Amino acid sequence: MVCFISVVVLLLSGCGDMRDDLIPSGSDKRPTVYESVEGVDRVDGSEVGQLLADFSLQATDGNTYSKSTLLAAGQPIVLYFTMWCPICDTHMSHYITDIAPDFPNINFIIVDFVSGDSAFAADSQSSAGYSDQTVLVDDGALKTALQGAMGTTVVVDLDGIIRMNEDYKSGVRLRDILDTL
Amino acid sequence: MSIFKLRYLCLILILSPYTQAWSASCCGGGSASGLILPKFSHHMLEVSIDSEQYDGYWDFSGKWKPDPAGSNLNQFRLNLGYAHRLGANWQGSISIPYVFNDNKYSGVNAKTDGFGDAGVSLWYEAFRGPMCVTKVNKPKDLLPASYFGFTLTLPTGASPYDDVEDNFDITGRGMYRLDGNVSIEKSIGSWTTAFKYSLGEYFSRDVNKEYRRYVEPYSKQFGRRQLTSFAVSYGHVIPSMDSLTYILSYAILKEEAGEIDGEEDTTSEIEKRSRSLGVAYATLNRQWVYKFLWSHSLDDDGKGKNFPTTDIYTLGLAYVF
Repeated sequence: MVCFISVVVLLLSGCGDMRDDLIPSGSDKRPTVYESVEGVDRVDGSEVGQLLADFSLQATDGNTYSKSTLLAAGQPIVLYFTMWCPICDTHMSHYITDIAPDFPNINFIIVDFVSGDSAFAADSQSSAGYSDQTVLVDDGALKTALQGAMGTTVVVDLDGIIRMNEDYKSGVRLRDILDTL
Repeated sequence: MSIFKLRYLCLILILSPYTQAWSASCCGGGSASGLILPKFSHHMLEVSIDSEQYDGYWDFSGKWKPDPAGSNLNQFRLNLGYAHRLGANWQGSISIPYVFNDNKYSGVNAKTDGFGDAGVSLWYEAFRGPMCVTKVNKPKDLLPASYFGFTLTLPTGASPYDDVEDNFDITGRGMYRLDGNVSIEKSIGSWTTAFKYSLGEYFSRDVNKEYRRYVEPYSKQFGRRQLTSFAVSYGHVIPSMDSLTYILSYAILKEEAGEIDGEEDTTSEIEKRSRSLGVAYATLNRQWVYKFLWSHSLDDDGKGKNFPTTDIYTLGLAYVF
């Protein structure tokens, strides 16, 4: 029995996409991002410290938004990638009720990356009870540019620099970063 | 009732398919369900197929909400299990699902597959012989069959912290968990009642990657998990001497708030209540058992929290030898 289990675990651990769970690592392996120094400009990308590339997406309110127009309003932005799932709902609700009141100068934007169509996205937005929020309808371009997934939360400062790009978690780290803006 | 029939019904009782499969493809589903070997058997192989269809979710306040318009979300699991007798009162088992995610939204169509989280169990049977009786003649006849055990869940599935590109690839939760299990069953005549309780603790782990992106390392631990289920079943021997057992069960799954870097993460609390209806068919030679189970989430407000509501259809086959 023990041999059988050992063999199974060994075989499974050979699979690349589960090794990180079987043997977790706490090593910091984030790539080095070079900031703008001595004439070397920041580059567009998805990493913290890089510039968010401009985008232009239709929203469920009928308007079209770009990074430039959003930042021109003078407010840093938080992009939250949703697929209207329970965890997404909990995260969005948590932000709106627990974090947003302390950061009225931050523009919270929901990015729907599964509907692909304004009408479907608006329906999901209404059903989930987020009619007051701005919801961008992403055709996949922004998700790809930011390597986003369910729950990905991206903070962009007024210079267009990505200050955070990771899972929502408990909101503690997000709050810490918003405090620095 | 003859001793033969009595033993027959005891066998069915032990194989009753009231164990639950809990999943959520968007949340890292695909955990293995339980497997218990009949008292006087030495080995058991079990194969089952789960078809889980998603139909909305409860939000954090317990309010039920529909899935996105134009979506059709499904997860299928092929579960393989093996149980082995280790001693007169001891048994061990291992089970692992292979998960197929099939998620269709109006703008995305994703089909992925991979192993789910495996489970390794050790059970102690706190009884020596059949505890089912035809009728109660003395106080001792009321004694139940009690099992005490542990299940270690291994993160063999693909979680967000693994080398996966997207949330649609998720087939596991990415955490080791140790559950302490108690199962108490009593059969009198054709009727059986069963109670099962599991208390699980996740092991804290380091995370330095989310969806292939390296992030600032942190520690994560899901909250304490409790699974409670009650079942009632009725079994009878049919003219061919094969037998049928019908099962009705109710289950409550709760997971408390977890921790991230030692800080409470209230957004991770979950709860799910469901009821199940099932039937098991065992052949005369007591070696083959077929079972079908339908588990339905109670999609009313307040019957769950931060979790999808689903229907799970399970078709299983067990070979006891």
